[in-house]
Amino acid sequence: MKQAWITMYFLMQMLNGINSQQKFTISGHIKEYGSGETMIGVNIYLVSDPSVGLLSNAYGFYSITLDTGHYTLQFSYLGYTSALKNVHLTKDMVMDVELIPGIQIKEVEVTADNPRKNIESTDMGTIDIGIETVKKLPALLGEVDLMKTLQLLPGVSSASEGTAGIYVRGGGPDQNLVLLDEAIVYNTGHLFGFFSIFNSDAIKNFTLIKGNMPANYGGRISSVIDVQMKEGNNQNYVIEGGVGLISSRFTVQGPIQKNKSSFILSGRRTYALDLAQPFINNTDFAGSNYYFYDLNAKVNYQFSDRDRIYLSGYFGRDVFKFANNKRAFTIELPYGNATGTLRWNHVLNDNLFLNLSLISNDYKFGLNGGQEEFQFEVNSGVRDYSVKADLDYYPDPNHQIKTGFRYTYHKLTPNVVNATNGEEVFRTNFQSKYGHESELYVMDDWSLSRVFKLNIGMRWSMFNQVGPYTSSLDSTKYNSGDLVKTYQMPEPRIGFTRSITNSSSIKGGISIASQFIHLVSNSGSTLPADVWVPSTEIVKPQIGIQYALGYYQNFLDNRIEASVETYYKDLRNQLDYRESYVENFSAEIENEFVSGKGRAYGVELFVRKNKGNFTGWIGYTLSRTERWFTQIENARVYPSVYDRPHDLVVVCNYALSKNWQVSGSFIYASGKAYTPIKSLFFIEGRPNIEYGLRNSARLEDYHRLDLSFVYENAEKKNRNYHSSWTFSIYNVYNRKNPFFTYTDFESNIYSGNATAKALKVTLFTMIPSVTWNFYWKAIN
Amino acid sequence: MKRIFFYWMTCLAAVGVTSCEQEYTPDGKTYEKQIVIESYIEKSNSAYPVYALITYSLPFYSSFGIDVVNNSYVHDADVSIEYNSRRVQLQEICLNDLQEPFKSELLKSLGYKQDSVKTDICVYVDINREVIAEEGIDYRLRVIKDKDTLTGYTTIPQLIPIDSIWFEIPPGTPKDSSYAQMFCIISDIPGHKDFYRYFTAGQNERLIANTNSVTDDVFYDGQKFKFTLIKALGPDEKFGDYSGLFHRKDTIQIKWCNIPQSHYDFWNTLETSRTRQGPFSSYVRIDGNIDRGLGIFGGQNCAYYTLIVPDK
Repeated sequence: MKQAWITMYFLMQMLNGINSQQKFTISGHIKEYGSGETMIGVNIYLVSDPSVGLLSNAYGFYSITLDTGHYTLQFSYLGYTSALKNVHLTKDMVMDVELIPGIQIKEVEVTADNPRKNIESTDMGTIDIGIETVKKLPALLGEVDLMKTLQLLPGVSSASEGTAGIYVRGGGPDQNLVLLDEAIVYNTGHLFGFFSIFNSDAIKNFTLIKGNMPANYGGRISSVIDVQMKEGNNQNYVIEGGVGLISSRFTVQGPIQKNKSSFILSGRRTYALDLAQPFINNTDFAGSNYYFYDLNAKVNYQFSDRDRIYLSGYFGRDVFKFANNKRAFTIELPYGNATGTLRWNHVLNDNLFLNLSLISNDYKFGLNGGQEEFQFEVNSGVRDYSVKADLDYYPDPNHQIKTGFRYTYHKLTPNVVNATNGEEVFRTNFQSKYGHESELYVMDDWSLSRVFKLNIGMRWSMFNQVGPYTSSLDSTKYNSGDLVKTYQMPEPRIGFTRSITNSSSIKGGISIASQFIHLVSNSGSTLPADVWVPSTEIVKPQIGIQYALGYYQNFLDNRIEASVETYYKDLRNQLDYRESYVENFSAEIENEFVSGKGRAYGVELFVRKNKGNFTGWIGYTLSRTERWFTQIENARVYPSVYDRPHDLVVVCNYALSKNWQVSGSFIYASGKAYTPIKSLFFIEGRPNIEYGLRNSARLEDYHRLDLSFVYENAEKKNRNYHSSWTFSIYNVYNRKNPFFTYTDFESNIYSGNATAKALKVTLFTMIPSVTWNFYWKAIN
Repeated sequence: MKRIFFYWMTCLAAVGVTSCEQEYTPDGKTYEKQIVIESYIEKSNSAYPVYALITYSLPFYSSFGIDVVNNSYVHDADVSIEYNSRRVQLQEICLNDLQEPFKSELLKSLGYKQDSVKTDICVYVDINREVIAEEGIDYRLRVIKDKDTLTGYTTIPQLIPIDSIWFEIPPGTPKDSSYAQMFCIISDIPGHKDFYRYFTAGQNERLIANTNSVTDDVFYDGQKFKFTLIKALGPDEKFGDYSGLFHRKDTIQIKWCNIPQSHYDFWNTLETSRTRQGPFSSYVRIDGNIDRGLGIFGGQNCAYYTLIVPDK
């Protein structure tokens, strides 16, 4: 591996040498003015030729190599004032740039913020939404939620109403690669998925890739949600937070050593049931409670112009306690994630950037309780340790080469049960499963001409299942570290952009991705109790092949961007539970799976207005998502639970006045597919349900309007202290969207007066909420 | 574990948010009439003769009156049990065809109060008790109705009886001395998959199964294990603080059975299907063992216990 890196490095140096005979490089970091936060995805291009340019990388670094001469470079980012920089290029130079958020400054005012980025880039199905936009949108119970904002985009739907789980282009929830500072997040939900784990105050940037996944991402076959935490203000101390109906947030950040080092510490906790404790404690249920909390922390230190390290972590827990003192019964259900990332950024030379990361993540689920001498505990989880390196190479404006590797050690623990009943001890003999996952990639964003760009990449991934393991195929026993099974997957990726006019282009791409870690849920949506399993000799890797084609058109001097994207996904080795599966501890869970195929296809329309007093977007998706398994209904093709043929979203924000803003979102979607009742039959005199074909019926269509009003005193906004109020109404017109159905039977059949009721339950009717947010910044 | 998880989540969802529900009528287009069989072959000292209740599945009605139930019985079917190269024909008997006092005695022996049964139950019975229930023998049930032939196979496993039964003061506070919790000890057979099902009843009451009436021995294989016996909830009883407990000084009955895996799978899926409802759960298809129909042909090896719950 080391040799390969050295060879790669010298090859790049050689290429650089050949290409740089008449060329020089401008490089540097782009930061936010006032906070020193590095900025990701800033558009950098020549004013004289906007087709020559690039984006700052995930660490805010950019490098552009040009012939000797005079240039004007423009640096632009949505929501920030663009910066124009004149350079006379006669030698390599380092130029750090600061962008000013919001306010327009005369000297650097420009006419267009972010022109043609969506037209010219090779990205498909990639959408950025600023965190400030997320904060303005209406939110259930006032809890600003990044994941729920993603649900408002075409091609993305929610697992079920109110939940933060997402399905992207017909992919399952386990097929989304969710990264928080490069650490994989295995469970993104609090309160059984109703709220996501991402505290918006601690988040700097997030990106959704639902289309052609670039080669630097892998391990999941559907989408990427890449979230970066803030680094901490390295100029001033800042305290901010909010008080809502069910939770409060508090964040403190500031310089450790000005311009060199900073920190951020951000926490959130719910308290709805804490407030009810005085009442609960006077009942038989004293000791019952529920809360969740998050803690985000990050520090960074800049050793030199070329070196910087970051240490970040996330820790979150849900804690559910139930006690029935009358029956001496208790149950506790703690679960949550912990992630940690240590990164070293090193600028090897002006056009070569290295990031090296050490990452750990730990997801634990526990359930324990009992009644007097009977006590039990159930534990499951995932623990990963990873090392990752990425090398960004900018030989000239026509090539942006990226290469790297990632190695991950996985430990996946199934539901391990320990129970005692007096002196008796019971436990399952299931062992944790172990695997080594290795990935290597290289990609090039290549401008073949002014109008044609390619993004070509190759990814190679390998998964080694290792012992201890006992084969259920031939009973072979593998000791710790023994190799059980190896899977290798080449994953080519290719995407292209062909500009048609200055404001339109077509894009296309094909990507192949594989997935070695799986989550199979037999519930309506994923739950914290669902168990992640690795690929083994029985469970094959999931494979997803996506074909996509799109047309992109900007209008009104790029103020309005529009796109039509079509896609077809071929999904292989999809997993589900066998028919009639009932949770039990008598069999290895992998023996309860069946393997099948799937497909998803659709058209997505998207129109967005980013500038002015009135902003927002409209998204519409027409799609189908289907699955078939030989062992389920004889391979009948059925709509998956993620299937939403029609999905319309309208999101808008309007500045009513200097102090007031109003935002709204309207959602219309086809009803969720479910398995209907075929007939009733009686056993031991009691009715039972015979179900019809899987997912052959639909609940009523879903629609909902949410509104929010934000009040912020404009005159105070630029002071060191200001606050705002957000008033939200969820489900404004009180639509009773069915959340689930159930049946209710009464009495004995032989008495001749048995009754049956089928009921639809609406979970969220109209819910108003209010949140108070505050911000304080120390003045030096 | 997930059952517990689903339960608590559903409670939380119900308590924590504003929810409402509306009744609806399921789409009748998916209805397809099927024959349902409920038949048991039991080895025990108190076993009923082999019988088969044969009905048609019904569309989703809001109420099931006497006529609906009476019309659901399958009449004039050819029903037989085959084993050891023998074939025994079962005879159809309907309750309303029986004369008093035989009808009342039959209902009483089945544990029904006479006035509680208003429908005309029809059942196919081995009237002459020709079928001998024995361990380890394969039994085949065949039902021919018009052009349909339905079959089911079962066997009778070894009985692992209860070693001992006792009562304790129920957990929790305040301690209520008028109720008791029942426990038993079982000595499971090592290296052998065993499946258990039990029923409870008061004196002269019908033995009924608890909502979770079956268990396997995955945790207890080969062990002597302690097991809590829950008093089953009757069809007209509501769940309450003392559900599952036995009233002191009452005379009670326990029926304890070993069943084969197919029989266990049927009850395990059926009982899960009954409780598996709510926002976080998906349906469970009941795993019967009747070919071309619904239901169960189940062998069981049972022991009956009658005892008085001690005063203290």
